[in-house]
Amino acid sequence: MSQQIQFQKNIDLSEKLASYMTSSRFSGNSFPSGANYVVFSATDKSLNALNDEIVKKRKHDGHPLIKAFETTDKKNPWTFAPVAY
Amino acid sequence: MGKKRRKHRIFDKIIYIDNIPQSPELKIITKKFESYINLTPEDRIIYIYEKNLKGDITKVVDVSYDSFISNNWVTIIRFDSEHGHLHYHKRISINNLELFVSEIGVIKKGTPKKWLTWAINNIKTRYLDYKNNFFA
Repeated sequence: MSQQIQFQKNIDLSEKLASYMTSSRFSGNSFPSGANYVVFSATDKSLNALNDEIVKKRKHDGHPLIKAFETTDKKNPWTFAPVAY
Repeated sequence: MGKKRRKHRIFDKIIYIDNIPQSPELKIITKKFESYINLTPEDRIIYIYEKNLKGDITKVVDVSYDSFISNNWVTIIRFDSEHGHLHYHKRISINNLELFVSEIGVIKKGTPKKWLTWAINNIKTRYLDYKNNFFA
């Protein structure tokens, strides 16, 4: 998968994440403002493997890093796992 | 004679709740959300927006596309609606990091939520152009 495809797929996911974060279902109170997110697709394993590499690179940047996993659950479309806090 | 009402310095109208004068800005409580989302090892998008108590987006504070260059994140283009309408700030080039501001080609109508979506789509479709022009 080229970096361009990774970019476009991730921006689609980030838009869904942003849409969820702007909804009333997401409180996000436990996450610090300015946290870095790496998105993971519910279905695209090859994208997720590439995004794991992003986590490895950004883990030691000194900023909070959170993995955001897309789910198939309509009530909870995203779950989160802090990597660096 | 009744107590003299103090006018708010900025606003002309005074809002009363339960007969208690309120500053108009107190009614509009917004919460700021900041998210930095990594797209590739060298690219990320930043969303900063404000929501009111209802959960409606009231302001697109920032939608930025950043590139990781020489161990630093550099903002290539940034959209915001700070002055009530969407516009962008774009860096001229890697050799001239000054920002220029423009509204050319930017959506004029709609809600802040629509502006947010528009800015995201713009970055998605044009990020390579922005990046190539930046390095040109």
